[in-house]
Amino acid sequence: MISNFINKRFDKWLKRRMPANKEITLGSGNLFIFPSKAGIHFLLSCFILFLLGTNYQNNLILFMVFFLCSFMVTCLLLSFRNVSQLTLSAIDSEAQFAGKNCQFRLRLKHGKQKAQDLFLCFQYHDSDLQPIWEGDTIILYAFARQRGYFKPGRVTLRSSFPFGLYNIWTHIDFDTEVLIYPTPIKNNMQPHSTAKSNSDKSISQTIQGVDQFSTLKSYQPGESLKSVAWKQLAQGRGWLSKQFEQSVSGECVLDIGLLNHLPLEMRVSYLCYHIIELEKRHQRYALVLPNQEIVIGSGAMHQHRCLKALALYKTVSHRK
Amino acid sequence: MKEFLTRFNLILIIFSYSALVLALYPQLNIYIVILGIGCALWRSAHYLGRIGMLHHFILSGVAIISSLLTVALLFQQGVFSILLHLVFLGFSLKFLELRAVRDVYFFVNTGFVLIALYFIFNTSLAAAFIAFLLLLLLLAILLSLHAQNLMKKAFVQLLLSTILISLPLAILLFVVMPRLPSLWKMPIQKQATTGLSDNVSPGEIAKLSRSSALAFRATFKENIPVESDRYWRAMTLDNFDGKSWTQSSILKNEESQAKRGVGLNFQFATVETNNISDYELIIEPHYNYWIPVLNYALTPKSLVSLGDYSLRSDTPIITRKAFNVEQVASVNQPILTPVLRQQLTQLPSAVNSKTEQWITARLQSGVSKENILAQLLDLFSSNFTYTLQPPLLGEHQIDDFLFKTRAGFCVHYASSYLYVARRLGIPARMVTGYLGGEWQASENFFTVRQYDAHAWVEIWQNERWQRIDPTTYVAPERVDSGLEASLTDTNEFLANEYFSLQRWQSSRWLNEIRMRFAQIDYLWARYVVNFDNQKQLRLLQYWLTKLPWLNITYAVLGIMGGIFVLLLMLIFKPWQKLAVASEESAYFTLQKHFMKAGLIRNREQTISEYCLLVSEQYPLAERLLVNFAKRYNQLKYQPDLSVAQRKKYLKQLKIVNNQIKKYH
Repeated sequence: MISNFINKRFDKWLKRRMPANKEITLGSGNLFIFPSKAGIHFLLSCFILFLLGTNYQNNLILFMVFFLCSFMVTCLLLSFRNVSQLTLSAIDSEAQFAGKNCQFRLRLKHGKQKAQDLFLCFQYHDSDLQPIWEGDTIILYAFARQRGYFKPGRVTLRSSFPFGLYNIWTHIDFDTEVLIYPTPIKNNMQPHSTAKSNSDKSISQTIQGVDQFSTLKSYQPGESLKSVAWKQLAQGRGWLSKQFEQSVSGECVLDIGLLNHLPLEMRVSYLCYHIIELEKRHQRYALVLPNQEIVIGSGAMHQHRCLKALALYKTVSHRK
Repeated sequence: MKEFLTRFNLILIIFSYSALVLALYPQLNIYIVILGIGCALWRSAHYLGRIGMLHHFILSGVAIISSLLTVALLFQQGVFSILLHLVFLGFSLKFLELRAVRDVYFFVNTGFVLIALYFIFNTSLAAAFIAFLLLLLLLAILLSLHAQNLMKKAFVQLLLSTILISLPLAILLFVVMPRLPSLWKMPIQKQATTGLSDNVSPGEIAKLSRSSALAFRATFKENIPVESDRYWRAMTLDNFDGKSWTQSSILKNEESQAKRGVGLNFQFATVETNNISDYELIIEPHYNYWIPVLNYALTPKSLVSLGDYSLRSDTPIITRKAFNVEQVASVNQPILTPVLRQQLTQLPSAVNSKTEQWITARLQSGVSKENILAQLLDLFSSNFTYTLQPPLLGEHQIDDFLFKTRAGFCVHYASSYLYVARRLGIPARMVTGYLGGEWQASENFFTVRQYDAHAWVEIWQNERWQRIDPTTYVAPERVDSGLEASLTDTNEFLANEYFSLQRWQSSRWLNEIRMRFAQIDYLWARYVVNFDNQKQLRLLQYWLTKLPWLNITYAVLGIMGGIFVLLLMLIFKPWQKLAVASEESAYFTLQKHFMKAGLIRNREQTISEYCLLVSEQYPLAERLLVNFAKRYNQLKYQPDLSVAQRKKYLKQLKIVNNQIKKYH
């Protein structure tokens, strides 16, 4: 409980001391150095040596003690030099799904020399995935539990270079946040209701696509050479291009109101699943929420709009 | 278990382990070394994937059993040896338990303690160099754990530069840190004594003469004693059993009483105060109590004087130690009590009949006692030879020597002379110590080695002790130019030490190297190993002579405090003040006021927006706040403001700040 209180005070202090920033250069203003456990053991054995040296009145042991103490001081400077001048910046992440380890990317820019033995993680969010280093980019993982905007909080950077006698660390706030879509849950429900305006149209519609051959039309310069009907050209019927189409099984409207008997999170997850499935099948769909309506459409942007609406539906938005 | 050690880590660990074992080898029990090597091999096999990790129970079992065995095995060698071996055992068994980085730290820290224990046995310059290499290896282990991505060259560079950077502070601390006295008594190593012992039979000194080991060194500032005065007295022996000379119970009692501070006080209070010369002795450890000094020495600190004006230390000399000795020309001679006189003329009941006859014949023909002794010395110089490998003597030692073999070294001559003197009723005693020494002119000191060990005689004549050295009548070179010159067959000199540099003194450049090294080792012993509070004070005072009012304690504290303050200044740079425009500081006052109410400006909000946000909460202050935002923006962004206008607006900001205090 006390540690909880101290942590809270400390976080509050950190917020004032190191406000959020997309990019940070490490230096004496934002680094913390404490002797590590190993460092304390080191000092303890120095003390034992001091007792030995004093009790045996042995100057060489005493010199060794002084040397080790002075060594400890040097390590302090070296561990600071290792990470100072290191610049870290956060790269904006794309939206991801809840219930999974969420990726965050950081970019490192080394100072005069390469920083060694760095360890990065989120201060409060843990994940069973280890950070991945790709050259100067690091991928950190944090487990996203809820849909909505996810703030993984401060990133902890730690190093015990060069001799492990000190831990040098800092908690950096990159103000990162990422949109978390709801967890898709597979279900057999049919929340599709074909819109009235479309009901009299043929169920099987087609749009231009890649699935099956439909017609030939005259070739326009600039079209892909792959679509040129070479057979017809050889027959001397001139430049024609093959047209393909794919079937669209129907337009549908996803209405959350139809799922009212289910708990909120379930409803959202079901709809999320259907949006992904429909998008995979290149169907057109619309989303109706009590406070928002997204008109019919398809494509990545449309999917994103729908999923974002679902993600933020009835959540307390953190974004100001 | 996942292996956390890299190949490089493990090689370094095993290598430094082996190096430490080699360094400590003379002190270690062979069985425990074998156990340790077994542990190291086991860990290597585990690294290669041949063996699994041991269970905790088995591990604790092994630890308990092996420490019990260690105690049982070394029970007789005393507490110190047991402690050393237990530390070493922990160091070795850690191999079985290298599971995480933490264990490696334990290993390294134990290594530090072992290096310190190594220093208890060895304090020479070479030993310090070896210890430095060991320390380097241990620190390299630590570095290798955390710098796995470094190239080898950068690794070595970092290690060496770290050590180099640490040295100046270490030296400063060494020089200025006051030395504390021993906090409590520590167990010391039981070890065979080296050098002279309190039991002298002819074989004893001959054995010493084969060793070129350093016995002690003495530094003279002035009045270097001439060759014939370089008799370093260690102890006197007054009891003869026909074979060897020992100390009588009278002498032993006297010594133990003096150490306890009771009994006679041999301070020689009425000394003539004409100091001849003071000198500093640096004694190599000999695990005994005697201190060799020239005639006559006042009692230095931490030593006691005895009635035969020799010096003793309270505790055995187990490390190189330095003493300042004040020398005086003469002392008041003691009074011989009848008991003493009886002890000093004591002779064994076993008879050396030929010697008796020789003496009786002289006495009957009217030769005085003094002349008989003189004749004996004449006999020595005419018919006897000086050799370190004399023929064996039979049951009647004195007879055999004087009338049969007629070849021997100092003990033989001293012993025979004493026998004759005592037979004549003259109180006499044997003195053992060292004679001569090599003079190192560059640093003004004598080097006295074990082969300089010598025995001579003191006889009581004219109410005073007088020194007689019978050996000089056989081999006068022994006094003038040392042992090697006095031997007829120079191959006898250091017969077993083929590799000793002393044996090859004839080679000029080898001799040069030897002398140079001896000089450096001397400086090391004098200024580093025996750097005590007194020397520290002298050095600091020398530095501070120009500032005599400065107390050293304050000076040290001042320097340390100064460094600390300087570091603080460099880190926090208080002279770099953040320059804030006046309108900004006015805004900060405003924000601070409303922050208490929980109204915080977000980064993307402008000042105007913030003021609007606040006025939603405090409608009464709306006019003030709007005015504030307007003036603030004008001050900040309107370039053509006149100075008067600026002043006016700033004043308005301040008025607003005063008025908003009403709104909480």
